[in-house]
Amino acid sequence: MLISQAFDWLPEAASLESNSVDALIWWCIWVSIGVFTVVITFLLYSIWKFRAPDGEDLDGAPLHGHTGLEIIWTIIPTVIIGVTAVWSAIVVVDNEKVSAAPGGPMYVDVVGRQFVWDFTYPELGITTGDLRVPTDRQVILRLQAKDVIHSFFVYETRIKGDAVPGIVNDRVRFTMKTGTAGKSYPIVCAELCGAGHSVMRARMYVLSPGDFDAWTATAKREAVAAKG
Amino acid sequence: MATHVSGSGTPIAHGAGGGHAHHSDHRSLGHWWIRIAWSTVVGGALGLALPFLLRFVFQMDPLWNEQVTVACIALFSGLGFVAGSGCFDWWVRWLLGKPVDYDDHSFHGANSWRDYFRLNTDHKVIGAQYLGVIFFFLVVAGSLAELVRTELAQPGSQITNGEGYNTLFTGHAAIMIFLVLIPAFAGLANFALPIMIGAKDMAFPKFNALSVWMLPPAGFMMLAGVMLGGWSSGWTAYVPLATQGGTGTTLFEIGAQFAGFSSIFTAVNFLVTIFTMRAPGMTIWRMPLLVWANATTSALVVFGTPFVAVSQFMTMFDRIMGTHFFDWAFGGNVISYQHIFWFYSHPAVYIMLIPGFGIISEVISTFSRKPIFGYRAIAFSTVAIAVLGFGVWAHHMFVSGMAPWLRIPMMATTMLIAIPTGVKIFGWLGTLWRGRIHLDAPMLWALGFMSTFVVGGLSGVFVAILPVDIFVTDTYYIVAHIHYVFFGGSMFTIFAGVYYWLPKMTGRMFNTTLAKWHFWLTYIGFNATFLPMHWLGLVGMPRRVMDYDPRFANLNLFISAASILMVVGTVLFFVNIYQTIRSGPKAPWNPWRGRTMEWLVSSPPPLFNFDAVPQVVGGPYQYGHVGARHAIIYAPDEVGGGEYVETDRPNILVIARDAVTSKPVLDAIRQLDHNGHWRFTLVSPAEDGQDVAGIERRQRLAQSILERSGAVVATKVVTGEPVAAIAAAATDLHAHEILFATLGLGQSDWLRSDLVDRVRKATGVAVSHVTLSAAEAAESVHDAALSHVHVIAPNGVDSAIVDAIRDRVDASPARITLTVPAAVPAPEWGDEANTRRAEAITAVHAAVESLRNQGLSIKGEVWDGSLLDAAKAIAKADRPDEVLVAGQVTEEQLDAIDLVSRNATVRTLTGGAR
Repeated sequence: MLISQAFDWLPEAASLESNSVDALIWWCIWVSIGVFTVVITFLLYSIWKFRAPDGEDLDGAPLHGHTGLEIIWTIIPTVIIGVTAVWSAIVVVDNEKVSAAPGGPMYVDVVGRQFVWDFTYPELGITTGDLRVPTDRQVILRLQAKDVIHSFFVYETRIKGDAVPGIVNDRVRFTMKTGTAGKSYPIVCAELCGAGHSVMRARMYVLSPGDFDAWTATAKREAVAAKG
Repeated sequence: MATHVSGSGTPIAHGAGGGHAHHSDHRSLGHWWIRIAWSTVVGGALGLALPFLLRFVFQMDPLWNEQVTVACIALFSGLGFVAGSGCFDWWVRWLLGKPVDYDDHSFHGANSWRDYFRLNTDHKVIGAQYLGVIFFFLVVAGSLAELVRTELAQPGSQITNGEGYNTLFTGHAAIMIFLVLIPAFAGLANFALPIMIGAKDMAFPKFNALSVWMLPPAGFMMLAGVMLGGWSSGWTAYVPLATQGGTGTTLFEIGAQFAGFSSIFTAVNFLVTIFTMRAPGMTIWRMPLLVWANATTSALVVFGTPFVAVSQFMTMFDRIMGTHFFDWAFGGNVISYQHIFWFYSHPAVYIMLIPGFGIISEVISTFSRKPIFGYRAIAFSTVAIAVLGFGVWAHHMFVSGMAPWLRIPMMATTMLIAIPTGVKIFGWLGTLWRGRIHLDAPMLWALGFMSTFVVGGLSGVFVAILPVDIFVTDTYYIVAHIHYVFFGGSMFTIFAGVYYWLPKMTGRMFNTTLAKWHFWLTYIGFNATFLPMHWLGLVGMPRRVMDYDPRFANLNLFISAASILMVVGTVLFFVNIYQTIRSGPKAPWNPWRGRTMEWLVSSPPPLFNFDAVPQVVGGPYQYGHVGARHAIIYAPDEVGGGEYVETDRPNILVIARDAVTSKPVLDAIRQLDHNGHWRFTLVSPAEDGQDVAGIERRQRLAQSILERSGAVVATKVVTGEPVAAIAAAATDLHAHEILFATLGLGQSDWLRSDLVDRVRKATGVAVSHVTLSAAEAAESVHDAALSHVHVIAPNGVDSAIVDAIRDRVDASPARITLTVPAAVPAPEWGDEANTRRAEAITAVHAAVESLRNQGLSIKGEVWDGSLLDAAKAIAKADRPDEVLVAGQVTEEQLDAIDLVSRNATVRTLTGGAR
């Protein structure tokens, strides 16, 4: 517990989905710490307890196994893994469920190319270099790529998806929490995409629904002005 | 199974195991490497010319296509290298209808270091060759890793740009995987596995040689790829990024074929060996777990590796031939590359781990002196991992945009793999329980492996879990995970295996202190380097980036610094290996008290491992059971069969008198000792009235030389009628075989009296025969193993000095040079000078003659100058170990001699060290 308080183990949980993912991660961390402790304790104890003096020539006890123990240490991990797998499946299905709220999800077409992102809002008919999303409304990104594979990733949403040439990947679905309005997060490219991979960065601005509407209005006007 | 190769006479094979006649290939190392060089160049030239000519013939435009040419040059020069090494010679002869010897063993076994640097068909030599290649590329890939860490020590660009950085980590990963981890296990198993199952060699020795000779071209292509650039798409070479690559990518795609086929060939070889060549009694439930592991791995390789070969071919065809397998603009599918690639490359992870699990099972059981806990569970879990391993590949592609429904089943199968892996870990822990644990170097690595691999395994469960993987994939968490699996997993087991079998491979023990330093430096350095990467990945550092958020600057600097500990550890490792080979103390048969069969034969094992087919009678890890046996190793039938253990070495009688110290005889004995497990008795028949003391002195000299190279040697002088005396000695000493050394026909009294044939008839023991010229027989011993004593007699030699020299040699064997500084007066061509010189020469002649008759190895010299001149010249030319001054000399003279005598100890002949 102390260690977990000493520094941040995970970045800010900014999307609604990140809560369930974090819970799962913490479950894994604790189970892992448990397993690790058991194994290492047993290992160190055995080394300490059964260490033979130098030059000793005796054999250990002729134990060839213990069926009961072997069954136990097969079953316990199976149970843990079964629970975790079911839990994980539920988390994924939940997180990827298309929002049935009024207005539905907001779709954004995301196109990755070496080494920038283009975000197109089909409902608004505008394209930008940074992503702006409202809080409290599910955002579904339709990821595509022009040249090589890229990967859209915002740490604080816990969700990433590859942008692959030739297909549309719509698995990046998240809803920003109310409290994140006004904040912005880095968008990183997570899939090696060439010489500029480490600088293929953009930002995701989170706006309150009101601010988002205001921004869309301005952006639409500007788009029309630019065309005219 | 050793055979006499020196001298005339019929070569006689020892042992009952099939009578392999063994003739070494006598062509020099230079011959082979010149052949490899021109063959590689000719191949390269062919690769250069062929596409040009074909494009010309078909009138294609442009005539020059760079990548096609690069691919052809790489392919043909690689094949040229392999052909030059001689791998195809036998098959080519067979194809051309020339006579071929199916029992040709001329490329089998090693008698000197040179044999390790050319074609060899002995699985033990091939094992060592594998390790040589992988150690070389470990240094290459390790250096690339350090360059990566140098770049990452600070945010921003340090030593290279984005493209260069991508090339560095691509080269590091590809070389580590294809040239280090995968072949390292092939090498270790190549050495140990045939002996473990009681086989004389692998099933296909020539094929085996081909496997190892295909590796260097693969490695050098990848190394060239790093240097030439155009290879920066990661070791996974995802399209379409790889399609954008240049020369380096082409070289990788061809190099991967060489490495891949090498791997497939070895796997086929292992499978056939394991299935068909196990000794009687070696049922599958008596196979050591390393054998289980390699059988399973080989199956994985045979099923899986063709997929990676194909994926690289398809990418290459897309790039240079205009196909559209993965070209999305022409209906190709980008994702299908990943499916094909990971269908191999996930099982490849197990190819790099399962043999390591096998090594760990051997080491943990041996150093705990306990049977493996749950042998069948561990064996089955190995197979389970392999089978499940083919159903999990898409977990690398959870975010790739593939069919979404595939993700949850693949998550489930992936997580299932944790169960058999856990069974192994718990089985090893159970093996430690109530054992008698010895923390020798191999065990340290095995225990270290258990602690780090648990971390890698658990972080592996994290990344199997779909929502967690969606978060952490492509971040530093993955970098941490794979290094805990490949370094804390595979590399640690490789080190465990190398230390475990090093005494068996080299016949020498390594330096324990250095080995422990190597372990602790690497262990601490490894954890300090890779543990923080988990956190980096979780909080915000994606992988494969040259530049990163400045808030991670301090931690990355720490990681880069920690990685240097591993470099220091690795340097110590190489120093240790070098010292072991050069001058390690001789290893016993079974330094670790292992119970598998490789520990029941000598270190290093004899040429064909076993003199007679061994019989397996029990499980491999029967510690703690009184009287339990794994296998019985038999002595050859000629010595009455029966069990064969370290303490009984069949006796070879070496019949020689004056020639016993000659080079051909010593070499013949050394060669026999190298190839088999013998002891030698030097038997010299003395003629009536001959000085027995002189004969004994000669024998002692030979004995001392041979013992320094590790042979077990006794001496005996027999008197009376030679045939009867030798026959009696042969009976008394249980002679297994007799080796005669005589002068040539017409010069030898022994041959004149038909001694050799009469002894053969009288004893019924196999007799072989070394002939030497009179010059060889008379030559004084000039063996580096023997200390060289220089006696300077400024006042001439008298009988007291002769006696004193003899006493000195009796005290400890040495070869002697006797010098008399005649100090002739000027002019040195004058009559007086001539007289003085002649007198000195006569005196030296007499003394040398007398001492030779008494069995000493001595030569004489007369020096025109003074005592000090002589001492100076001798120190410079001969570098004696010891200088003895005979006769009246002053303290000042002794001091002066001491001063000019370099490292030699200076004494007076009558005593008194300086």
